[in-house]
Amino acid sequence: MIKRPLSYRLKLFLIAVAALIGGYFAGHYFARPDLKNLSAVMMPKPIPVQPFELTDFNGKRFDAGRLKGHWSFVFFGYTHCPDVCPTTLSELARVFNRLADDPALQQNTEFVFVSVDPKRDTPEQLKTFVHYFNPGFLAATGDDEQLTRFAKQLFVVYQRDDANGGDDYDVAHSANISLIDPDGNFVAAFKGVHDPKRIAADFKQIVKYWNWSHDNFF
Amino acid sequence: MTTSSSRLLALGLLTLCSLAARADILSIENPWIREAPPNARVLAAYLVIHNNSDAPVAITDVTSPAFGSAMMHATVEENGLSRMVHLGRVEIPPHGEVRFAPGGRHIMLFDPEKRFRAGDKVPLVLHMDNGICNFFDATVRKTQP
Repeated sequence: MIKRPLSYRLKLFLIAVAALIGGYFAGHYFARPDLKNLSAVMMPKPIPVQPFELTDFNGKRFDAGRLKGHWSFVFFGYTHCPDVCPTTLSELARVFNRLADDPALQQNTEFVFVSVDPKRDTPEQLKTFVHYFNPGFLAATGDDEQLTRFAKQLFVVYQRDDANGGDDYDVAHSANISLIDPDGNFVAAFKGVHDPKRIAADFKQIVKYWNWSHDNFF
Repeated sequence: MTTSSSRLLALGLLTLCSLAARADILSIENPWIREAPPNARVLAAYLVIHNNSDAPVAITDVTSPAFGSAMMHATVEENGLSRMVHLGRVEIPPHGEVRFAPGGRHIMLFDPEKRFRAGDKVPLVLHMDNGICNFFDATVRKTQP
């Protein structure tokens, strides 16, 4: 059988088909990832966290600079809280476990518990409390001025009912979990009843989106 | 029922409530206490309470010999603030149920007598407005059943 060279038209056609297929995959590869079915509330644009100064359980300064270079989940509460705080910390520990399939991301994600009860939550108390949930979790606190300075940026409010001076009081506080990106920007909040599976899934989507934005605009 | 009858009697005397018909009126589903950090002074118990009777029933108090004190609470969200409110009375309609679950109603338990770990059974007593009590054990667990 004699091999015939492909006709000019057929060559052109094949090139066009290849270009279409290639374009389709390239488009997918470079396209902005979708943020689908998020339970998280995304900030309309990233909000840079302004200076504040707390102290972590090791006595080290915990400030806006400490939020840079990695992702942070930040949750406000207190250790005498029986329901919302242990529930949320246990959920965050499960979010951490769910990141095991992306070890680099898991390593690059910090979980911070901010106590709004500095009177009872000593550094030792905080360390024992959060390390029970995960030995890598961090906790910090400070005076009301500094706590408020940080909290209000994340739309978190709290109210301590300790006016009568005793040691038995409750602290009402927002139960949002805030997500801060590696540039130190507040990017998303998780509200209401938290589901570790959804938080982890949302977080992975947000990270993918964030990485895409960085690759394409910076 | 793992609690022995002598323990029930002691609890009954201690809490001054009638043991009559205790098993018939209420049934308790999945009572559990979240295992807490070793230094936690306050824990929470969760459960579902069914009223098997034809009349409404109200829970007016909760006690536990394993804790310094106990009370019914609800976490409520108002204007972005989650706060706890004390529930002095929880009504359960005839053949209805009331759910105590994380982020909502819970039994707040103060000053544990010891560190409780997953698998431990902790005795709790629900007091009804008709003077009858319901005794049961809650299981300590790391996660919601």
